[in-house]
Amino acid sequence: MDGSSNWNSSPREFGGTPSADELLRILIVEDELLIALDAEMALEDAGHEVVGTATTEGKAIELALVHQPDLMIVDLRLKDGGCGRAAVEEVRSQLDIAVIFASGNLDPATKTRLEELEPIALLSKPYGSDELVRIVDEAA
Amino acid sequence: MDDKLASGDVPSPHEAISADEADTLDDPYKEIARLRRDLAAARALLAQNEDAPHTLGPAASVDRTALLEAMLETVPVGVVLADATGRIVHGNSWVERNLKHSVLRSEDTDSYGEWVAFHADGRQVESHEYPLSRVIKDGEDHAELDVHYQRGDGTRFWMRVIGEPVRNPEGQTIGATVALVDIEDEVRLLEEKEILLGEVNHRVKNSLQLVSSILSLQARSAPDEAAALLHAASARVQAISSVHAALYHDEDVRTVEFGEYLRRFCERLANGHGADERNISLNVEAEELTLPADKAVPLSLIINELVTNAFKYAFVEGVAQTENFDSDPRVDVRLISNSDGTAVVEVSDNGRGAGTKTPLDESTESGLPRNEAANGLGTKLTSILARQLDAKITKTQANGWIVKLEFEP
Repeated sequence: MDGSSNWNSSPREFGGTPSADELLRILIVEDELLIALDAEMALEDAGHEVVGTATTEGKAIELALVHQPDLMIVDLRLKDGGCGRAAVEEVRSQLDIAVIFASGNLDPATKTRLEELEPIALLSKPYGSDELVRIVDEAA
Repeated sequence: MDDKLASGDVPSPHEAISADEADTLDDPYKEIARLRRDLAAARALLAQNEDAPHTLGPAASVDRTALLEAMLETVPVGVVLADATGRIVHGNSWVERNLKHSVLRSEDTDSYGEWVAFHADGRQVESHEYPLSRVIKDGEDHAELDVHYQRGDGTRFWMRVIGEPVRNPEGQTIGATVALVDIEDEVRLLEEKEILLGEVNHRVKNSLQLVSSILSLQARSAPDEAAALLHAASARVQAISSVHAALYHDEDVRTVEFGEYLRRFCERLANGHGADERNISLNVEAEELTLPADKAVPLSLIINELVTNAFKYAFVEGVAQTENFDSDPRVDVRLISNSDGTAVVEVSDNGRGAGTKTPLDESTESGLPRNEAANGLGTKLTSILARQLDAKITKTQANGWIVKLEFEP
């Protein structure tokens, strides 16, 4: 099938489109734990399952491989100088997991580099947790 | 000879460096100014050589050339001289010391490419791009170029090349000079500044995200009425932070292209109020308008109040729509940049409720259920911020309410 063209033209279809009412298993990668907590509570209120929160690059890779979530929500700058993009690249070399990137610094160059990884969305910080839930629901 | 040099209209090279200038040698612009004066002195010396060679004799001419060369050695920048054809005839020892190769005696302007340098984008500088070529071949009076120069040992550094023609009293170009200035420090400081700015920007956004998250967490554990207030507070923080995010969208961090911003911001508000599920359409018509941050923030807050109220109160269920009423609920936002320099923002709805008008007037005719505390603040915020913008604010009733804000951007 012509999967490759779909792949490029529609990032939303990454890893296959789940059925409409599907609830997702989500990994949050964010070093500010209050931001992570708000996102977690908002997502769980919406019925999704948050399988874990990682604050470092290493932990993000570990939790992703262990829990094999449907979706990762990834901050670009992590604890101890870690890089969210690098974590996603490592995870993607083993598993197809959809990703939403969140960052306070989405300049055009950064955007271009992130878009290579075909995320479902790029969320510019600061974002509202309702906005996050809406994007996740659209992806589900 | 010394007497003659020090007198009349021929400036002495020794006067070219005054005591206070010697203290500020690390300022490249002062160095360049000083260099110009030195070169003027040198030109005067040369001119005198040509005017009166027979009275001074060949020995004096040799002396002057030696003096000129000695003078060129005292300046803290590279100096390269070319004749009218572009042939490079001289370079001071700065060139050899800093470029780590001998002065290349390029034959003409087409051979300058043998001085290997690169633009910021990595492209090699071509012969005709060098300031020396531009002043000799293209007749420019002054030419500058910053290049990443490749030294003889393969290392690179940032260097500013400044070229000017040398003219005889008749105005003919008889050669040209270039000054080479090490701007490595300048470039590095600029890079550091960008990195620091990025860091601060990132911190600010993260902090605003924290504020928004804390308000949202608190709203989740609060009783309904308090939760609504916390959500309203959170939305106001969002209005401020989204302007902040937009400030960093383009090169200039002090301004926002408000048209594009307005579209995204209103869309976000509409989504937040479930516009799709409620079948309310949002239409944003925005012309391009660049606003400084101190206008964009209050304007964004005002629009937050107006659009939020339109979605919250204009289309309240249970309020009967009349027969001749526009059937499709819609909220319109327009941004118009007038030819007289003023700008207009217009927010309107076609609902039966108080809608858009709410933040302007606490006594609504329709007597709709609404949150007194939240609305009271919305009204106050809108009028105070309009005053901050020196904006004229008017409301009219058509289908629904139209609020018009006129201000000078």
